[in-house]
Amino acid sequence: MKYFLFFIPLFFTLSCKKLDGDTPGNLVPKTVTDDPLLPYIYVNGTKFHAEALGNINNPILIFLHGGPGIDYRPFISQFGQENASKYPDEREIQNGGLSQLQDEYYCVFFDQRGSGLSPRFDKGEIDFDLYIEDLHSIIDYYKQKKLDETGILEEQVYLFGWSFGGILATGYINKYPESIKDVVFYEPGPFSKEVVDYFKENTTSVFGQVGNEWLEDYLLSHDHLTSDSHERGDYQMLLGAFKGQPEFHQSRDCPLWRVGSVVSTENLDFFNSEDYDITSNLNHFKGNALFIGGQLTIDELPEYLELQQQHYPSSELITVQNTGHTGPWEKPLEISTIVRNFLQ
Amino acid sequence: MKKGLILLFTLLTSASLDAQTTLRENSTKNAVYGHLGINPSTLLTVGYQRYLADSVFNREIIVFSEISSSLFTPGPKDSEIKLGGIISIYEWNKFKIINSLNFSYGSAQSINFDSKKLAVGDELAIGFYGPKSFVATSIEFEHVYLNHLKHSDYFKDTYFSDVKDGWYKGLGGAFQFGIETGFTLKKKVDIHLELKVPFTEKFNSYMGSPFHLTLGGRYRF
Repeated sequence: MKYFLFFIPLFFTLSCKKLDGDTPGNLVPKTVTDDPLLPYIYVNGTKFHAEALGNINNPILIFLHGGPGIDYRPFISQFGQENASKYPDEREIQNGGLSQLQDEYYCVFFDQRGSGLSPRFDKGEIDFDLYIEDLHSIIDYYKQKKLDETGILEEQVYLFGWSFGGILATGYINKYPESIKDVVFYEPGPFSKEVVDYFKENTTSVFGQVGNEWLEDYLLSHDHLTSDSHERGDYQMLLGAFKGQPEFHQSRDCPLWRVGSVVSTENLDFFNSEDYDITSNLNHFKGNALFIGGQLTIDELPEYLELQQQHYPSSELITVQNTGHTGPWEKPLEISTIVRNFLQ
Repeated sequence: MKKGLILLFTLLTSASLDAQTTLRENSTKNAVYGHLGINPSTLLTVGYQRYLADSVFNREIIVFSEISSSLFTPGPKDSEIKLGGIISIYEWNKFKIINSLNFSYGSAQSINFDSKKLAVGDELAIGFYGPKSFVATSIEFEHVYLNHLKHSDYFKDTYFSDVKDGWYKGLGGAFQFGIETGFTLKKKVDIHLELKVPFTEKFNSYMGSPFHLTLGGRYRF
């Protein structure tokens, strides 16, 4: 009898309806493919999770998030106040994070192809050239929208690139230098092999972090789930997001909606190639560049931003105290002020 | 039918293959062992083995139970219990094929979630086993059949507020391909070294540690 009693809960557990980790919306949010309530645009043959904030009569400022693979949530969230909902109507703050710049600029936020709440793509379907063409199409989309709604033809727009977004901004400017008026970088990813090498030589390998609780937890999670589907891969990436390299972060709790695991692991690691250089045509860029760095990052990599700056002859560098790589989320007021002063 | 049931029982109660368990003197019936390594996080394992005679196959069966925990966050929250058995399924001189099957229950607790899993694993080791040493290649497969996830407020606030908590049908599984070797140090003490490369069950990147390394020791009595 006692054995029978033991097997009742076991049988109940095994026979009850179980959740499927591969169903969108169970472990990670649905993308614009499955969630009709999310804001999106359709350009270059696909949907992009996107929204534009502010008065369309103002200059267009396009924000490029990092990763590759993450999303624009950190741009519109604010440390200590709100982690922005993916549904605009549910946000308590409508101008959180760097979206406070919407009072002077028409701020465009979008999740890059395969990233965040934009649709997923399979391995081999995404590359950097496609990312550049996506950005070109998105810029054209908003320029045309502005022309249609206001009659204003805006020849050039502003870019703000954070981390990988800085690589994308530079790759874009290198191909379309005449399209951009000025560019702001927040700790951009490396633009050339020289900078990649400097970064590698001066940062700690993840193997040096063996024993840290976050890494133990992250590695152990692989014993419980593996990344054989988009959803599980995205979920697993989320578990380790922003947890590595604590020396670069004031806080490691930066919010995200989804990390596109395919994008972040497979297709955009071209900067590890021996001849990596996306600066060959930057001399045709007539605008100004502003580099912003968090003090924590500059303490660790004192020459990093100066090496990056050399690719933009007309540029300046500003340091923000008490923050690191997630500065736009932690110090949005301070960084917004810097951006306003620069773009004026 | 009876043989089939016994074989099934043997396989179902047999896991983390430890081919060295076949190296022993006939006078010993028990062993305690410990493993230290990365698999998939840092791991400390302690276990007990019992050697049983199998009258059906005229072959020895080893049953074992073991408990593992993270080396740097020891305790039940990051732990795994395995019950299993090991049997030699083919022998020709020093050449042997050894199978090990196990059931496991694991727990992982982090800032993001509290996860439980029920899994079944099987490992096949093919190698040469001498009286004092062995070398073998191994293929291991583990499939998670059931997960229970409960997410923290931190996860819900920082990432996904509508994440679903509860029982999930198996969220994973992995293959590991490895090599292992071992030798007897003293009369009743064995040393065992294993290196494995993990892949997901669909042979995708494991996205964790690129290899798993285990150093083990055993005392037979």
